Amino acid sequence: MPEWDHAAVALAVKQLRLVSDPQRIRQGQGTRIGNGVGSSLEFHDYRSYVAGDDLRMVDWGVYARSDQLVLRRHRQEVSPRVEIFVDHSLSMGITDEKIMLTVSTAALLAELASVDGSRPQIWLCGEQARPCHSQHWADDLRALSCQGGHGLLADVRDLHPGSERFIISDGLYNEPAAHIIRRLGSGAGCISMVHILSAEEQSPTVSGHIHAIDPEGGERDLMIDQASVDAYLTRLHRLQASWQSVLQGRGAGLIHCTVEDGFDGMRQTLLRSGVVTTNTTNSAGSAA
Amino acid sequence: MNFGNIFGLWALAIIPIIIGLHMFRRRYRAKKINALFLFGSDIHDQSSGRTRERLRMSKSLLAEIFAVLALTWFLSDPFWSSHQQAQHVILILDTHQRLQATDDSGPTIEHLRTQALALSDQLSDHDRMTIIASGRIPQLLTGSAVPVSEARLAIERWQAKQAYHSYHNTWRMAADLGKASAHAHIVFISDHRAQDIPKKWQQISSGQQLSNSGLIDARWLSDKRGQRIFVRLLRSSDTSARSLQLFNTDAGNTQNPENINNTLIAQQAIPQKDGFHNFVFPLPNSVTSQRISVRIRGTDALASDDSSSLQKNNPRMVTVYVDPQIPDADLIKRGLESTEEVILSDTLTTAQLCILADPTQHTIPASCWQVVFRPGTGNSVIGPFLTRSGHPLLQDIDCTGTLWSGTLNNTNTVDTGTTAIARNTQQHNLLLAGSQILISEQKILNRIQITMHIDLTSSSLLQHPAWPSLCANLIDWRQSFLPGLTHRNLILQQQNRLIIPSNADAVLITGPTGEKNTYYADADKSILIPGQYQDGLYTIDLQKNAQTYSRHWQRFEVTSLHTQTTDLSQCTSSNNSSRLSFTGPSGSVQRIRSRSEHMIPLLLALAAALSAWFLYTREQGVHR
Repeated sequence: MPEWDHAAVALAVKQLRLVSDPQRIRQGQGTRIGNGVGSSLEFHDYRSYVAGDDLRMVDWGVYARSDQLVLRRHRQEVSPRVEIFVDHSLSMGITDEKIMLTVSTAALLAELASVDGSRPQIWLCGEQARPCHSQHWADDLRALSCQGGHGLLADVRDLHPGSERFIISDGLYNEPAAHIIRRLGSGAGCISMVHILSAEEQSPTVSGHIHAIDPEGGERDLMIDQASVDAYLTRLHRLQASWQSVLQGRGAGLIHCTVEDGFDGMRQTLLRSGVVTTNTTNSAGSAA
Repeated sequence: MNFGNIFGLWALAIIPIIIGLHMFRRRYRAKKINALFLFGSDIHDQSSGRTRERLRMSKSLLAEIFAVLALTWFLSDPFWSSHQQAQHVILILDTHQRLQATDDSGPTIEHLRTQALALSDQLSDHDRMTIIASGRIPQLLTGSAVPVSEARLAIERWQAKQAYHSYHNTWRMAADLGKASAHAHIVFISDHRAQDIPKKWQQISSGQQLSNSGLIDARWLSDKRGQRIFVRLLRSSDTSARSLQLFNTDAGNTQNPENINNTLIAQQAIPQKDGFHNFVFPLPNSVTSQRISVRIRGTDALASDDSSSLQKNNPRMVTVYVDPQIPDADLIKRGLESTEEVILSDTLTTAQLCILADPTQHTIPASCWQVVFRPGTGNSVIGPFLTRSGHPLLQDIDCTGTLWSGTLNNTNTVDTGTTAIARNTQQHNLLLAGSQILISEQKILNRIQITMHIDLTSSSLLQHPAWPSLCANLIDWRQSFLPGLTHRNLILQQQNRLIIPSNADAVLITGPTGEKNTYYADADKSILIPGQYQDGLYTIDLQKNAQTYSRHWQRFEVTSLHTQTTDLSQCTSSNNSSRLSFTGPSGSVQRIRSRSEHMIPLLLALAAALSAWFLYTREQGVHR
């Protein structure tokens, strides 16, 4: 298993932070104080008033003393658990880059959760599902190898209720997505899926006659022409739509990543999806 | 190298076919593709036709070629030599009935069987044996040079039921078989020690000299003095008090034992001294039985020679008509009456033989033979005369001193005195005196006409002693063509002749064990019944068009009586089987394809074929 780019992950951890579940933020749920700005009673920092800010957050005392309008910000309350399901079935290992991006994504999410005060739990889903050691998940990720065909179909137990869950997989299962999400998302605070596919998987090239070998079982002689590619794309989009529909409203939904875009592309995709956001803590601290 | 079946090599023609299939086998570039299911099941290779590709030595190809080679080996049966070196032992088993003699230790044949089996134990699995059963017609109980295991089964089946026979035919067969494989060992197993056995042969004689009394001959005689049963028996070392009994065992028209009437007719004590003893039992007129059994009362070593049954010899009577117009007809009748099987009839309609002066004056039945006295114009002659050799009419006839007048000159012309000579007649001259014909024979359809060219008034034939003999021969000859059996009491393997009525075409003969055989008659309604191998009562049913219409028409009895069967004093015991050895140079016996030579290539071919199929499916990627 090739080693992922620790430096890139560490840099990304400094620049990003995990976005908490917006619903829990509004309802003031959470049993711990997060590092972000929230609605707990704990003072976080001041920020200059800009037009449109909530006037209830204005610190009138400061205004009386200084004639400056500033906002009083409080620290957030966050969920204590992040559970990450890493699919390391044989299909994920079709190329080294694909499994390396998968592991890098898992490492990034786990680091962000740790920094956020959440306790990350990584589940390795290959031939069977097993949890990583809570403190030494990095060693487990380093020793990871692609095996088995069960992946997300493996039996997972003792999931933490209310946790924030991320699935990192290519989603290429013949099983209905609803069955998978029903099992993995049962009792979750929110659940999202990072859908990692290679460019070839997203759009196969016309190859003519080939002897196709599926790493997870099955071989066939195929004629890859434009017609068969079109049929493949139709089915793929239908599959992705099924994932999307079952994840709708339960989190960030289906987050598409392309292996060839690399770690940076995946980071940008996570930012766009709203799973993570840029970390502005240091820059805003000087305003107080 | 030789081949048991050279045509099996045609299987090699499969190899180029297999190679061709593999060369045109469809192969594509392998490519890893995730989620093959997204391509659906309807997307498959649509290309038509195949192209020749480089032959790849795949495992399935090698397995298939190996399977073909193994199959070729099985079918063609290759071998280096058509002969193998092995010990070949030829066993001659005595089958005389006397081997059934039993004492406290059991029957003699069982002792001999044990020794024969022990002899076969000395041989190894690849050695061969040939088993011959002695007999008038010797029998091979196994094929020539068979494996020992097969020979042992034949020894187990060995039975001693044959009547007396000489060993020479058997020994000749063994010698011929022994010549085929050099260094064959020939062993003769019997209860007698044969003195004239070839020197190089070996013997096992394990007989038992037991005391025994047994019947050696029994006959049913019937003549003008009445009916008598003649019995001859032999006592050897048996001095026990025993008696000879006669029983009426006539079962009527059935063979059902329950219907047998076992009535004692007569009994006589047997003298208590060794040797032959003869008995004659007159049968009273009240005894009308058709079947009588003779038994020696008491037990001894051999029970099979203590009883025998006899069928009454009902002679076939010949009805004779003598034309009163013949001169000295009375003398002719007197001569005929001297023969017991003659019935003189006053009418021609029921006659089976007619003696006439002029056949044209009578209406002769179709099956009636004729004896015509027709004097010729030849010279008178005095016997002896030249007779046709072997003719039944003239057997043992001595006409020395007979004055014969009225002979016929032998001019090779047919006597014109007769009318309407049939086209299929054959005339033979039976008795000649130079160029004079004395007696001639003509076959007219199914009947025979004897023409006596004699003037009885000036000849002395009727007064000559040859005349009664001539009459007896005539009656005997005619009798032999009447429906019925020649013999009613036979010994084992003795043939019998049967004439069936004109309205029958076959007979069904049922043996004492219920075995049935059908025999078909030839053109003159004659059937030669072959010798039987089982003693007892046989019944004959008449058949027409395969349908039985007369049950138990005739019966005959088969016995196995013989001096050699009864006399056990010549049995010798020289149990030398342990000294027999079959080492030394092996003989050359014809190769037999062993079971392993059959099975090994066949199993290899099957295993290789299964492996090839398995490997091929794996290579083709059949999704399980």
